[in-house]
Amino acid sequence: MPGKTILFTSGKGGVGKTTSTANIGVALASQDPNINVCMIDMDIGLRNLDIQLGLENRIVYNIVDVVEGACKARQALVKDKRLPNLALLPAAQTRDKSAVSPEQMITLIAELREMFDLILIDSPAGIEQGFYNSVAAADEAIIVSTPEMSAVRDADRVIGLLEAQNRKINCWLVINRLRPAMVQSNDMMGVDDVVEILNIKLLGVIPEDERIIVSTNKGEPLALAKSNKGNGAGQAYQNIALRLTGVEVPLMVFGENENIFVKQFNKLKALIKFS
Amino acid sequence: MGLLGWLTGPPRDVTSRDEAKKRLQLTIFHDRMEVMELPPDRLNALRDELLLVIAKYFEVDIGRTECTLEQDEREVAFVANIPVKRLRGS
Ligand SMILES: Nc1ncnc2c1ncn2[C@@H]1O[C@H](COP(=O)(O)OP(=O)(O)OP(=O)(O)O)[C@@H](O)[C@H]1O
Ligand SMILES: [Mg+2]
Repeated sequence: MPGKTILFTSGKGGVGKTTSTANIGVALASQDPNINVCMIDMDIGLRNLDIQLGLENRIVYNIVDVVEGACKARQALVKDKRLPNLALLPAAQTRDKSAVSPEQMITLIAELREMFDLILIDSPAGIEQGFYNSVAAADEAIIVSTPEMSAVRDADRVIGLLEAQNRKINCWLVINRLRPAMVQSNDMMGVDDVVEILNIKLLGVIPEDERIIVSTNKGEPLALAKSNKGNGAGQAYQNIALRLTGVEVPLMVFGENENIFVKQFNKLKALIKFS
Repeated sequence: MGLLGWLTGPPRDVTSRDEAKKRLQLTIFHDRMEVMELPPDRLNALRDELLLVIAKYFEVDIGRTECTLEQDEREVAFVANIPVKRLRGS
């Protein structure tokens, strides 16, 4: 069965697309050694997924080399050092978004679908060509937003653009950098507010967690940390990966009055089905 | 104030969370309109044309006619409430 393509996008920059792609990618690959996962960095000119994964020193070729025919897709793929079933297709650093076209993306991803069960696409910020390159072959979209006004507004715009595509692309919401104490004191919008406004299905909530910075320093996505328990970002990413494969995991409860989130949470059908 | 409000006392100050949500809802509604490229005067033109057609079949109460755009899930719906007095003879 050809692999499935999941897009990570947001409109607004810096809300956690790359962090989410890296963490959900490693979580999926670590949960099941039989799932082959490929991550594509579409932020051509501003690549970052490589350092989040600690793979920056292993890059030889990149996605632009592949579409221009300078190398085979297989040659450009960087194997993860921890997980043999995980690979990265890096972005080019010296080119820009126009170096790749949507048609080329469709061809490339058709090839990757034969090699991988899952293809995660980390899209750049914005709604220009880099966005449309990322959307071209996506089956599902994970919309990343923080609970802040400008992030939510841009998320809504992006959802509108995805809904306007000719193909049906399912949209899922990941709320990142939630600060439970601020929500509790009504100084920040909560999960229920954002879900009500955007009106798409909730896939998960990631709390603000300073260990994200430490893990990026080390090139080790937090979702891989041995010490993951309780309600940190690493566990939240593991939970999302489980939900994607059809396991029912209740939403994390961050504070006393937040049981309402759990009630709000819509049960998911498995996004990814493996034969 | 509803019963619940009466039990819990007078409403507290509007929080910045409430404010954010309200402003955002309004902004996003306008964004969606803008994307649809439907300026407000077009809406009035639509209402007038619609009334002309309906008035061929019904005697309508023009004064109580209401046309609005409403948010329904992720879609914007055109909602017309046109009270009719009686069917016109053909
Ligand atoms: N849950 C979190 N807790 C704390 N810091 C976070 C969290 N998520 C992301 N960050 C931090 O936010 C910054 C931006 O994250 P990231 O690079 O993933 O965003 P992005 O959406 O990919 O940005 P861009 O639009 O530039 O591609 C990073 O410095 C990251 O460490
Ligand atoms: Mg990024």
